[in-house]
Amino acid sequence: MKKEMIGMILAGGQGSRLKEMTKRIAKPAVPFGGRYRIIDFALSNCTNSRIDTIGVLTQYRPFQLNAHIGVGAPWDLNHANGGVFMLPPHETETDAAWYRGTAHAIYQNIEFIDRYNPEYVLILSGDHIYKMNYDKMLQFHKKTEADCTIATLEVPWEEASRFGILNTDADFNIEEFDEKPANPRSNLASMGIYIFNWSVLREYLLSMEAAEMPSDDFGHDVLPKMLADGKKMTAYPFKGYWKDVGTLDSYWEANLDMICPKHELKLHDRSWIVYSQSSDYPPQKINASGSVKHSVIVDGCEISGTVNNSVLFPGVIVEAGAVVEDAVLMGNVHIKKGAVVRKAIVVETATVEEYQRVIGEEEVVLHLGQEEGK
Amino acid sequence: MQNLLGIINLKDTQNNFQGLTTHRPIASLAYGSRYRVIDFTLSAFIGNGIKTVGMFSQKPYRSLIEHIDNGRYWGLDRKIGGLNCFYQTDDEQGIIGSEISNFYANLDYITSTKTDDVLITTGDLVWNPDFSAAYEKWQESGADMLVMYKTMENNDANYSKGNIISIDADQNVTSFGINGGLQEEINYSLSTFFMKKSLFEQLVREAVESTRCRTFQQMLELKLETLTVKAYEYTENVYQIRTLEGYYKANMALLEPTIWGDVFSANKTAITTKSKDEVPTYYGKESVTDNVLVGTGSIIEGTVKNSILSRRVIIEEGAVVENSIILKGCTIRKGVRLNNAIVDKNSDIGNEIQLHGSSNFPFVVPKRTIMR
Repeated sequence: MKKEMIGMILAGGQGSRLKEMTKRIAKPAVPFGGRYRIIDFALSNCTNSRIDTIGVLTQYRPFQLNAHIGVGAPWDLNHANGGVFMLPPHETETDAAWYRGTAHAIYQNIEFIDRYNPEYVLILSGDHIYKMNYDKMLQFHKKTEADCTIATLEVPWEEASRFGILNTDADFNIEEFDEKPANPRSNLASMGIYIFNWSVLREYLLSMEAAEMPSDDFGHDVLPKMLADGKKMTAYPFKGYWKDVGTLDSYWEANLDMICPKHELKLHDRSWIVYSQSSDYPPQKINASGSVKHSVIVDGCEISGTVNNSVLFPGVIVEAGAVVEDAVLMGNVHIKKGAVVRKAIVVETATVEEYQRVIGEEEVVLHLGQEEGK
Repeated sequence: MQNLLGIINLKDTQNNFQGLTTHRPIASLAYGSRYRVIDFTLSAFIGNGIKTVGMFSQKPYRSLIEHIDNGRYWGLDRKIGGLNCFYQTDDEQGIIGSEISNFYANLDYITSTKTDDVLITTGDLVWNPDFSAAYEKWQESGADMLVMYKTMENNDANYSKGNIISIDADQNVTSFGINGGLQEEINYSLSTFFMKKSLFEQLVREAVESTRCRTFQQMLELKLETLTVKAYEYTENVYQIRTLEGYYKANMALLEPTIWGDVFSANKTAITTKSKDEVPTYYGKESVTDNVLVGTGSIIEGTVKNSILSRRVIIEEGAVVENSIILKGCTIRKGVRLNNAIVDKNSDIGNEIQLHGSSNFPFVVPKRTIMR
């Protein structure tokens, strides 16, 4: 069954800079924003962009991702023809290998993509928080008649040296890749989102592998080779909120940022809903002794203590006399009476004991509860 | 309990709840911040392992059809068993009328289900029952039928004209009647029955032939002489929503810990509902919330006390909402004061208006009211 474009979401990475948070789950499965997991943003963008066939490339600790995505019903991706497919590394007659990189993961799944015989393939990362209409990017790709289009974001000049920068001409034709440049000549940073003409990418993956050239990674190997060969590559200028929550501090900050309903991510916008797996919790309950200010709360929470500037996930209990400030409390966290939690991330199902103090100083503190000793 | 066919017998209400049930049956009234009333019956079935469910409704209400969908939110979108809905057509109603003829018209379905027994109940009960003890008691008793009931003081107008039973010392039912208000204490029928499927089919056929009864209740009254019926007392909290006052009280009851526990405690079946993909609820810097249930997608900047808010409700700074129920998609603007009010869906209340009802007579603002 032919599809115009299918999506391939790279979700195999650990995200080791998130430390203990990704000890048991892959980064795309990390909870975010009160009721989501990070991969929900990419999946929902696909649904809202009317992409109905998606491969999710998993490798590191895939169980939580498999359980979360299932047949894709929450994202309306349970299609009779197409849908969402989990694609772990696998054995073939001749080979058995882990995914060695982003491009190698796609190479290993050429058969899957061929099954849908698409004109275009959209390569996404499952790690990013943003809302983007991939169909607009596809229209841009078609209009410029490019072989490859890379989504880019204007970053502040002083931060440009932290990103993969694209130097382009006035028509957004890419002239040079500049990985973390000391003296950036442009502030267009790659978002790790690519649209390829499938026939072109397929040819490159096969021929580079056959020639035993390094071809594991898009950024390091495949894209520079295509550019050197004179393929038409354009930069798609994206405007809006985009965040790669790579570290504990940036994760914590990004969560607290989205508390405000007027946040740039526009979560309240019902024309571009971020979908997620739902949970059957009772309604959120704020008791007479509870106080909640500038915070977001979801179903299953019961608040008898004080909550300020915090993000709470489903099923969180804050007992009377407990104080929670500048904190991210993941699902089913229990804060017992008299405890103080400040500038902290508390992971799923962890408990903060009576009168225990979990307080981040310079850096945000990660509280694992009983896991701590293991 | 896979051997049970769960039948939901939805009754049309004569009481229109000051407009709240003009467009919907009681079963699809919004309740408890994030639910519809029928969620409790569907969840009770799932929680008790009943996976074959027939829902019988007199009319094809849009709100009910949209909410229930194909039953997938309750895991009832099955090849084997699952949910089937039966809405009456005009002709059927024209000939014999209501419940019995709807059952009769769909006897083929009832016969075809791979179950031996039937649990028939309504869609207007708020509870979270474990049916196993009642089911076992019926099986051990050898009685034709078992009915679940609740003993209560007869002082709640919600239960006036409701169904009651008389029982003897051995818990045998001696009459099915209507609460006429004469007794101080009543055995209130929860309209929830266990019986053999073959008996249910036979009763429906007999009822159709005699043409003397239209409702299941009338059939019971008629047939009791020939049947042995055991009674089973349900001891936890349960509400049957029959009136506007009852609807208001049953909502407010959730704010009381014991009733909350009987319905939502962690060792019970989770009450399941349709997911709406709402964002987390925002509580503003100046918000005051005191003893409230709030739905997701809401934005609370004002003051809310002893109230139940559904999804996507906006309470602006300077608004004060007390002892009220605000349904989905409403905006309560600055300077507005509500007390003992029920505001139906998608209303926008502004203009510093003040609306005060009483707990016996809440002030109802109809669906899509714009007061600005």
